[in-house]
Amino acid sequence: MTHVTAVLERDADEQVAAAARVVATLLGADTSTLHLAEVDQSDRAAAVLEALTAAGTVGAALTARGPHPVCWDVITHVDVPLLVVPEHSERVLGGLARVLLPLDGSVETAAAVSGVARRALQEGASVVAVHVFDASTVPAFWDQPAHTHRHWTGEFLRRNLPEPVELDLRSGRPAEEVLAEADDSGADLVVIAWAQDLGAGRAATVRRALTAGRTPVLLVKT
Amino acid sequence: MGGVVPLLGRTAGAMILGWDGAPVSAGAEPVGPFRCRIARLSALGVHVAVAGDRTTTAIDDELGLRPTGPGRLLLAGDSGRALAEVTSCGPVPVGQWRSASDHSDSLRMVLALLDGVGVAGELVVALGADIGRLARLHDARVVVVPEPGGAAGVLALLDEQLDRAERLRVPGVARDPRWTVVERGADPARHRVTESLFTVSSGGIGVRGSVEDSPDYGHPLVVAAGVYAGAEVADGLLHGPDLIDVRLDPPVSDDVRVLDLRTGVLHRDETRADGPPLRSLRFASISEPAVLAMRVEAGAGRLQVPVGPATETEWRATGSAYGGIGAVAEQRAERAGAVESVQCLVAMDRSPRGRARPGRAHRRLARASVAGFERLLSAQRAGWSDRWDRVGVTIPDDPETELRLRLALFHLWGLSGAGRELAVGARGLTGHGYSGHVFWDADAFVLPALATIDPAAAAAMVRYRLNRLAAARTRARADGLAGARFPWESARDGDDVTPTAGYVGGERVPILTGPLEEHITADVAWGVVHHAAWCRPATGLTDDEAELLRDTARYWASRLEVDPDGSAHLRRVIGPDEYHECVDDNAFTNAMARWNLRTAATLASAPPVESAAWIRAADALVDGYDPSTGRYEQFTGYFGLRQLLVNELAPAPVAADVLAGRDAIAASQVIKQPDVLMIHHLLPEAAAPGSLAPNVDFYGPRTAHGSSLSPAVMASLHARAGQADAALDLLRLSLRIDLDDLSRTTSAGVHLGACGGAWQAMIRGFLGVRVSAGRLRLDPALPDRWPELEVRFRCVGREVRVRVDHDDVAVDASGALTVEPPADTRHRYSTSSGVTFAPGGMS
Repeated sequence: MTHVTAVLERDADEQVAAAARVVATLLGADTSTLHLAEVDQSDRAAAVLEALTAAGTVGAALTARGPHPVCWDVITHVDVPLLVVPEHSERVLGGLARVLLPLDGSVETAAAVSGVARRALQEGASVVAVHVFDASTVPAFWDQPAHTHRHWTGEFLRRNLPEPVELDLRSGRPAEEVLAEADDSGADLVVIAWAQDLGAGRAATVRRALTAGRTPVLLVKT
Repeated sequence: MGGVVPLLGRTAGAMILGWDGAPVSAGAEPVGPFRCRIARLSALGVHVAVAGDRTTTAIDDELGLRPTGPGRLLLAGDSGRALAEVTSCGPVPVGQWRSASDHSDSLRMVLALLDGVGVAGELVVALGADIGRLARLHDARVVVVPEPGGAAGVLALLDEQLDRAERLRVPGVARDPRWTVVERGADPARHRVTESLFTVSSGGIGVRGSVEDSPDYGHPLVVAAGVYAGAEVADGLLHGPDLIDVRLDPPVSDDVRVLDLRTGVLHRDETRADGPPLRSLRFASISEPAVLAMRVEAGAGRLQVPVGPATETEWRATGSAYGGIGAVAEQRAERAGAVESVQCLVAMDRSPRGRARPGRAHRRLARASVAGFERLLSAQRAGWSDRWDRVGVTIPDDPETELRLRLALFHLWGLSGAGRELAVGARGLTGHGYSGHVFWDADAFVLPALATIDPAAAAAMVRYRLNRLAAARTRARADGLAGARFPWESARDGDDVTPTAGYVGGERVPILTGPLEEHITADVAWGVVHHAAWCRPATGLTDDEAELLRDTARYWASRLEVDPDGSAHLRRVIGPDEYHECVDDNAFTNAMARWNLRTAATLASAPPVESAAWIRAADALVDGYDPSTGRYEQFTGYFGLRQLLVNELAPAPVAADVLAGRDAIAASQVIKQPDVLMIHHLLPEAAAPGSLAPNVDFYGPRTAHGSSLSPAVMASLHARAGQADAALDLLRLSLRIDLDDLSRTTSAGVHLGACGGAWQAMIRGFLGVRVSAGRLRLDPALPDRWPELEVRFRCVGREVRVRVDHDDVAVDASGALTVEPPADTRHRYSTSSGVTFAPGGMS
């Protein structure tokens, strides 16, 4: 049987435990628990990575809260989806009513999140994709607000996410706008596809979502 | 003779064979078998050229054939010194040369004649090494069978052609890179774009270039000009019945699709298959309007269609009493060894008012069925070749731009033959985009282009507006004004179908173009007058055209506001630059209104008192022109906005409002598309002398090109401003909009306004053509990257051919034509036809 691992850095972290249950439901798996309270800080990342590469592990939940969360040491090394409770999140996830999928328009991102989107829809969640226009993604032409919007969004969804989802468009800095959309829409979960690169100038949305956001983030490797 | 006969494995459009020697030694062979085969091929539309050493008369006597066509029979005789075409009256000389040691000259002419009926390259098969060598001197892609195996081999090859026709085998296309748009591979994301690009149209009906096996990522669609699903804003174009539904198992995993612009044919070739590949060919018939002809072949058992005689499908129709599209088809399947083929002739009918009529479609189908696929194809090739001979472009040093311009022309030609009235939606007949609504794109971008291509189709566009004059009057009355006001977005009835809300990026916004973008009314009048001046200057305006001109002038006269100082103003409007809404005295709107008033006073046969009032009103209208700078202020207060250039935001083209937000852009000088400069584009005579360059210099860097109409207009203006190289860059940008899907919305159809704009950039921009009082003014400006250019177009009832290089301009016309070069021209003008050059004075 497959399982989603709740990585508990303190013994009673109901946020992480609940998040693991939600992810397990989403992925059709059981839950398991990895307790790190007794593990030395310097050994925690290795312990998590070992657990998450074990057979049957299909996902994990962990937190970005606390003084030295292990998540920053493992999120760049894990193949399975990771749900991270952001640093400032106070919510205990009870289920998925609304899921937000930031899409940058690339084939890789769409491919990475489409499975999760499909399962979320099957679970009855409302799935909303969000695309943020910035200088690198702004369309060349926007001829007419009604017709162009209809054609542009329709084509974007057909190319990126064949599932029946809505698309919200925003303009600005993607990291800021994704967080704003998550707050505005009351999303229970933000699913972010990424290349697991935390190098300079990379993964701004992931960094921002984990350090400034309030909505749990499911990281999916592209 | 004898031996193994090498069959071609392809369908020829023309065959050239040696007659007195290899491969056929006529004197030594019975002629009868050749005679009957050539006659049958000719009846199928295959052209045959026979090259011999004896005189054409001697060859003709021996062959004794009077083919009824449509395939032509050419005789190259007298060792290449003479060429004749055999008609029902016998051989008619078409070429003679004083000396020739071989058939080089005559074959060159044969190939030229074949090219003239759309048969070139791989469609031409030369039988025999000598003939083939000579033919290849003139066309490297001619297929040569060097050793056809003597007379028996030639007969077998002729039989193969007849058999391929009988077995419904799929013909090929000539893959000339200057004429073919090629798509390789099955990319689902790109597929819907190519469906738009590969639309074929005829008789006012467009069939998107969907593949036969209908993958779920495709968007197959049939639409018809002016046929809408209903009267509501969101109804849009009616979707016609599905015409192409070939079951294919397994489906195609990889293919090459070729749109042959030269012949108006779409071809598909599977590139990875176990067994015989899928091939298909389709075209919207040029000779039988509203008929689609299609063939598909694949390995036996893969096409799930029963082999057997032709059957007629049931009448299928969509729509209602509001409007309808219907189709009936004749389908037939054949098997040839391991290959099965299906042929489908689809005849359609459309009705903008009421249901489609099956009787008309059945009559079309009957005609198409009698003609047969091969003859329809032969007529298709010849018809398109004729179109390109009359209207086209040749840019020897820029094949990419040349091809893209040809694709733009192809889609504009697709509007031909739609009947007396033609509604041209923003995406034409290539998709559902913009709900098929008719914008100013139609009047200011497509119509002027179509007037140079197909004056009858342009006249039908004018008729669409004339027939909606009553609705325009009703709108003006509803606004408490006189005359006629045309809607910003129009569909079947001429009521305003502009949506009232939409999104700029993700920002929900009210759409104000319906109530405020009033220049459309003058644009419509401009289109009507421009068409008359361009196409039939001798006859002037018709009564109903004059009526439209009068009523639009009356609208403006009642619409403008006169201040105490006597100045007249148009307040609360939107100009072409839709980034700035609800502005006062938009220079373009005012200039167009002024033109409308003045032109009506001159041409519309209005009562003298009313005409005089119009002149006074026009004179009183402000236009924001500042003689000290040579600039027009786009609208009152524009110069006081935040000074911002587009490249401070992002490289153009860019939807600046999406990127930076509507309010920020509205507070700046960044504009969506040429606005002031549209005065120079549409009304060059009305613009202040010498004002083009200062306004190009000022507004160019502020233009985001956030409208797909923008780059082509700016290309034209840059060319006129003496910046031909910058113009070429903009033209190329415009031509990339659909081919490279720059808008990410080409899946909804080709941007027909951009196509029209690009062609206008060639005619008005690079050639500098204007028509005044039936005379052609011509002032070419070539970019350095184009050493030479040839453009063929129609105007003032003539077919005109202009060849330009950096020193010379050669103008030829199909009839008497007066051309005015500019007084200060640096070009030498010449003609070899009936063109008269008159001293100009144009500036």
